[in-house]
Amino acid sequence: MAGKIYLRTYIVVGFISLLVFSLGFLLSVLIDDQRLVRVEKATKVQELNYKSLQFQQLYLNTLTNNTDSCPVFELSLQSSINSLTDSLERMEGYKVSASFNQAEFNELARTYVLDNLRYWLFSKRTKELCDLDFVSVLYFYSDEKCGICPDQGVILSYYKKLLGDRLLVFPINTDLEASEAAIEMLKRRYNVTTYPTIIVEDSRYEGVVSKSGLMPIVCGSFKTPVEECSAIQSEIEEAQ
Amino acid sequence: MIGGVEVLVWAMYLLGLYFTIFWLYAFLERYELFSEEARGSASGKKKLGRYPKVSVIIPAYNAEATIRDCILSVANLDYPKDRLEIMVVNDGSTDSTASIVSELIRSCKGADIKLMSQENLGKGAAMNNAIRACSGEFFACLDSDSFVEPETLQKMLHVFEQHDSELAIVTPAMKVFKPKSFLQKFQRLEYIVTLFSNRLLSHFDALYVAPGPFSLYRKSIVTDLGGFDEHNLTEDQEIGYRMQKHNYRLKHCFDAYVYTTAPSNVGQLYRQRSRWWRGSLLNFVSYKSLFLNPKYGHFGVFQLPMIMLGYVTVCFVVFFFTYFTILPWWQRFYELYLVGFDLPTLLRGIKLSFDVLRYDFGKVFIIFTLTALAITTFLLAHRSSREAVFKHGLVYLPFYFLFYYILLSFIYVAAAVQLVVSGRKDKWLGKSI
Repeated sequence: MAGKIYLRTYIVVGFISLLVFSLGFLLSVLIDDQRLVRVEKATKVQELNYKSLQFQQLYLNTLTNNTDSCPVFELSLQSSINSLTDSLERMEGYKVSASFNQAEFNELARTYVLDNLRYWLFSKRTKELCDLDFVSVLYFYSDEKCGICPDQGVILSYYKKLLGDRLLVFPINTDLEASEAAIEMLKRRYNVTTYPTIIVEDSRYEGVVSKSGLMPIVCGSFKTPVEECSAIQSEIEEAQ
Repeated sequence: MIGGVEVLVWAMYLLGLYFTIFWLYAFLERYELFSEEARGSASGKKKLGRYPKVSVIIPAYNAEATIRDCILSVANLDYPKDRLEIMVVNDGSTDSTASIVSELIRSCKGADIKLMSQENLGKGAAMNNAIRACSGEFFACLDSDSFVEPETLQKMLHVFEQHDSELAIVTPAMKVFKPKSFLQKFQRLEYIVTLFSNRLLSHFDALYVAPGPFSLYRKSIVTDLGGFDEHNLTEDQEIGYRMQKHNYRLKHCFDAYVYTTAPSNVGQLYRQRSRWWRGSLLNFVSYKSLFLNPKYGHFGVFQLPMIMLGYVTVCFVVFFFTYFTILPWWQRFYELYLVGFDLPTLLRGIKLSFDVLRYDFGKVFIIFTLTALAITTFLLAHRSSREAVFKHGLVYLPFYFLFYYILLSFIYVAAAVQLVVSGRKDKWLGKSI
């Protein structure tokens, strides 16, 4: 006696499964869109911050010897950069878990590169104008062409945590160079050919610079000695 | 980004959904039937039309610890003593198994206990020797570390009475004997779920394992098909496949309880499951002609593909676990190493922000639906076998769901590797441990 086949059940169950499956898929798409909306909102706020800074700098430039306004300007520059770093991090996180909207996220990534470059220029100008003591780092990386780049990212974030507002890191995602000419410009200016490359106060360092390697580079660039630097220096010496 | 891994996750999810929903749907469709079965079982003993001669065969290899209780559980079966024959096959034991059995033969005057001896040939050969010598119309096999409840035999024979002579094997409801260790308690839960699935498989005529502890066989059919495969790692499964191939039927008796000793540590569990899994893979390959073959009904077109999906799932569980758990943790450790394990600095100014949008909702949804389906199945399984869900407390359940199946998956993958590396050398002696 040949066995029985339950064709109707197979089909009904297939239908139910597809329904549950598409529900999950749909949710995935909806959440992706929400992420995009959220990042776009943050971009608008950053645009406002930038305009405010632009005004402040204009104001500083126009009224010579008006260094009393420097602390105010420095504060808003720092807070803008911090908020930019936060939302860039968030955007990167979204981009990783996003299944759709890749093109939109790439466009957003481009605006982040530009924002970073603008703030980098700002910080350079302000440093001269207000005689501030911070170190800025341009960090050229690539997600597509560079497997070890995240290591440099981890080390830079560590120093950022350690030194706070005295270290400014401007990450430049060079994967976007095809669509963003500014990246190419900077790469030429600093002769960047490999990744990761970091530019600390106009000096170029290629390859991953380790924790102990980065210490003298960053700490040596301050005008006045920094407490955290001497602490980490003794720690590194101890380890050796 | 939609990469290869992403596609794999969604594909496996869809297949997993399909098979899980199938069983739940099948159960709901037969809900009335199941309730009726349960009522029938609760209403007490069913009178058998006749009491056929039954031989209970106990292959024993170095079983001195359990053989006494095992034989006594058979001697205490609620069944006419003159219709019941107990045949212990001493498979070349080097311990006191034989003398314990001889002692029992002397002391249990009422029971018909026979002792056969053979050189150490394995369980399949022991069964075949006993089948040739026994006089029963039906015979049961009982592993020497398992114990049977008094009503079990009558309940199983009742199933034979309800069906025609094409019914070859009735399988019992196997539970774990007095679970003590963590691992045994996990296995208890696993067996309860297996019972539920066997009950459903039985309705679809898709059973393919006749477990060592007290499966009951119609002797004429087994003899016609040439007895047990003496060189098979899982001869109790091979015979199930063979029955399916010849379109004989297997039924499950959901309230015929048998208790078996479960491995108590990971080493023992590995030996047991490795044998099961290697045997299962080999049998699957030997009976590949049944695969997707409509001649074998639901078993061919649905059950065998599902078994194959099981093999694939196990590999993916190992892969996913490594990819989504072990690798990220390793990554985190490596990042700490890069910054010289300076935790105080890393923890400085940390913001415990909870960003819902950060989570990959697709995967969250997958985990949610699969967990919901697993818990539903789990609860239904407990109801079906009348076991309390929290018998051993709440603590075991999350570990069971999270770790036990991952542990099993790693064991299964290791067993498959063992099969490829060393082939099918070892002999199976008829003890679960």
